[in-house]
Amino acid sequence: MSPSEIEKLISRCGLGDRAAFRLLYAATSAKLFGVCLRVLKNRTDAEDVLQETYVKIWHNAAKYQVSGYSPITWLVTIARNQSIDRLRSRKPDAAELTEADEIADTSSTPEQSVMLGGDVERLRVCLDKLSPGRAEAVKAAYMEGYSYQELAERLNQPINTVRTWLRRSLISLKECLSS
Amino acid sequence: MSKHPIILSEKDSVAAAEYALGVMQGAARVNFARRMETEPALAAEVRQWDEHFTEFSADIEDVTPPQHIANALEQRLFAPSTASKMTWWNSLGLWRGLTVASLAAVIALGAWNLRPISSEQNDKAMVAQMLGESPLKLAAFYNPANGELRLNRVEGASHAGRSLELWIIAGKEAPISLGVLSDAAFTKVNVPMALREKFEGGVLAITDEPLGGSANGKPTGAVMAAGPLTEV
Repeated sequence: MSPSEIEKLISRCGLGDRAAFRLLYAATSAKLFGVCLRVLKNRTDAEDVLQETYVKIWHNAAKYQVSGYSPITWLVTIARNQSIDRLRSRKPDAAELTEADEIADTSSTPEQSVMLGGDVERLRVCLDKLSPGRAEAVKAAYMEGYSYQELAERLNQPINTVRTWLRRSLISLKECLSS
Repeated sequence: MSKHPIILSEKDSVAAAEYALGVMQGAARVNFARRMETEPALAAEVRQWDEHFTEFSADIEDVTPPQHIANALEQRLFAPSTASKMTWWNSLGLWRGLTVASLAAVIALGAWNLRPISSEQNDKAMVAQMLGESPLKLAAFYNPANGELRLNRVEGASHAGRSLELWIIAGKEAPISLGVLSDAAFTKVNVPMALREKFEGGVLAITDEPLGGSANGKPTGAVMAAGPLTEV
């Protein structure tokens, strides 16, 4: 399903169209569930958060038009924010940590049921301009929902060091993305 | 609202990225979310970063969720005659998703100035955005200092020949009536001393009742709108 079709479904949800919601769920839930699982690393939590995500999607669909977001980003951002909020409120030992905790380079793109659309290459190009290891760390922070504390632990660096170079990386990224 | 610069400082621009990434946490995250409500330039910056970062999610594999989630959503959002059979706790599920961001809508909806003259007076002022399946929509502002509850009906009305009754629900207690709403868009309720403690962490709800309100002091009709009270 294309982004513009997704967008139409979201708009229809905003009008209370239940059929549109069901179609939207069918088209996007696998993607959002993947996002939740990746951040939460716990099936039960991810299932809970997925449900909360779609309740939120339903109740906020009317505001989507004025949000300025592109449709997939809007959906993914809701799912991610819900997941991160749950992650932060969870006790540390509740997570089932998987082997995917290492900060690995995952540059392969599996087939997606939902296309992102838009200018997807820019971030990749700009990331490549960062010093080695930086791009992976930025990506890991996004994918796994790491806090500065967790990022510092995984990189085995003092938190202030991590904060400094991450900020520098983000400034570089911004310059590249804006050009 | 405070004046905001159109061009963000580098500090804010980076902070927006940190927020979007999720590395910002705890009090910093909450405070930043609050700032985003009143600083559109900041919210726009976060949105830009969200748009860029979404590209990362292309590498996350799809995982088909179990069917029970779709079933639960059907029940929760669309169950037929949910209104009449809804228990109060089921209806609370509708607004569990309300976050700090939705307070912006409440503040925008209020036609009165929600900024206190003296900060002590409204130390623990509370607001609620009341929504539901029906078109009824209200913004509520409660001042614990004087027990004044102000309601602004933004949309919707009572059904013909029926009344809208307002309730406060504290925790798992039975709803307590605050009276019947008039037809005016703005309503002010002076909450009796005995009920004021119910407001902290409470939920405001409106039900569809016979003209003049429920005869037995308990809600008998459908929940038209409701919302949890949160501190401003």
